[in-house]
Amino acid sequence: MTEQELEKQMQVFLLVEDNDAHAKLTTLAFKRNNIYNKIDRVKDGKSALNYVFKKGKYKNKKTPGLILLDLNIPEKDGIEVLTEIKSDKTARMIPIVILTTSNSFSDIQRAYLNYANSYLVKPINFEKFNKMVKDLGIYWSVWNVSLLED
Amino acid sequence: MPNLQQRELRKKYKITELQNDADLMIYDVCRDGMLMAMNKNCRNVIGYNAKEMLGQKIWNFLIPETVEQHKISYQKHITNKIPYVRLRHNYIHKDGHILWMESSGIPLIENKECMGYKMISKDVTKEVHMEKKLEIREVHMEKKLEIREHELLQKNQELEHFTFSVSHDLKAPLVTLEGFSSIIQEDIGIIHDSCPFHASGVCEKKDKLKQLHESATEINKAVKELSINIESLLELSRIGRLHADRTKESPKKVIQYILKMNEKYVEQAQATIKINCTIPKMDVQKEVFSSILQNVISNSLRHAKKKQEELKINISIKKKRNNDALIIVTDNGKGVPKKEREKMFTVLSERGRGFGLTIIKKGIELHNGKIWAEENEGGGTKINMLFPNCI
Repeated sequence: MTEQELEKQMQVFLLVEDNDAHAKLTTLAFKRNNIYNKIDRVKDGKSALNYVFKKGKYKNKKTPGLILLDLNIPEKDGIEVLTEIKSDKTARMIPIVILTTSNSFSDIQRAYLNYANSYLVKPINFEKFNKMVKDLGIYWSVWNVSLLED
Repeated sequence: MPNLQQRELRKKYKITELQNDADLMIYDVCRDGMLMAMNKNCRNVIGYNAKEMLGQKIWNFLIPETVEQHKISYQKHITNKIPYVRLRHNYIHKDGHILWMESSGIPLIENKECMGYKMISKDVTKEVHMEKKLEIREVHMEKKLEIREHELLQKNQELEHFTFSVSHDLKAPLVTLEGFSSIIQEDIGIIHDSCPFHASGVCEKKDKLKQLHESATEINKAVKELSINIESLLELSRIGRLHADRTKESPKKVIQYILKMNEKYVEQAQATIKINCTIPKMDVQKEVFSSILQNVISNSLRHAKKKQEELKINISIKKKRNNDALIIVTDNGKGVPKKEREKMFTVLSERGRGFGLTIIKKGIELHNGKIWAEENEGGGTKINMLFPNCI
């Protein structure tokens, strides 16, 4: 298999993150841990929904194999994005991992009540952050069996 | 018209002026309310002298609005032969002003029948007015206090909310700072190690690279310290906002979990930790309880160790009277000077990094408990924590 073919087979991760530095850090951590899934990043809730529902400039995008969703984002906040995706009969199959700095009880509760598949709090400590991104990448790209097709 | 019995009664008790008694009104009342005996000093109380009052009905001296009510109550007393005990009524003084009188009396029994009452009354107008004033003031104060309490609560909540959002806003850039400074530090290390000219000492960039690595390390250290502070600030504000119910928790399990989470520090301090727990379950707010212990234990692990000596930490959990639980954490470390020890758990203690001590204090407060530090026998620190009524 050529590298290109491999990349084609690999799922795309959609990163919904308004903080540029955090987006870069997450992407870097994936690379440094040899997780080569393509990471597409959008900055706000509206673009995230357009991406998932293939609207406008995102009409040729593949369905992402995983969505990493920050809660505190402009246009539409993370919970709204989550709710809309989870109420769509097809799109709800995409695993959504909340990735945020907030560990407040109400945020965690709202996320799970709206069918988030997982909730991760960004650790300040980079060692932990790195380990978390690594585990996350391996879990969803290697171990997790997905039903999603393009 | 007085009936026969009353006439007899009058004979018996005579219509007399009773002995003077300072400012008391002492009198006998007939079944029909007629005054039959009266002390001289009633004048000092109600303004009328005994002669003016005798033979009159007692209700002539009451304020008119209460007469009916008084008559009914008097009949009830007579029928049931019950005494009057410190009853208060309004009387009208001869000069027209209204008095508060407090009256007590015993029934006069004749042939198993109540023929009237022997009464004693005193003027309590001043007391009543004072009481009323006090009552009004008390209600007023209570209202004021209530408002203050509400305001304080609100302010407190605002402050906690503020701390929470501020520390969250601080957290985001910290994640970035720590992430990139770690990456820089790592990468410089890799470049340094992979340069083939270093070993031979001919690489002129070697010193610069070493300096860069050191600089990055310094930044990283500072960021890590800042992170600890912010994280404990977050923890503190979270404890403040927690109003969880108490649950039954095994203190031993909570401690074991904490030790597992602190494996790294236990190893670094080469500490031996012994747990001696005789209480299977404690009634606590789980998250707060574990925060308290986490901070106490990690304080010992991080700050107590003396060089070249094995750090020993003993944790004992025992039952005290009244279902109180006493948790004692001792270490054989550096100890805390007496002066600092006394104010260790007061508001602005300078000891320790972050807000660990404040978290402990707040957590103990939430359990209505007490915490104090002592010198451990043979050096080191002994932290006592009393959790009342939780077994």
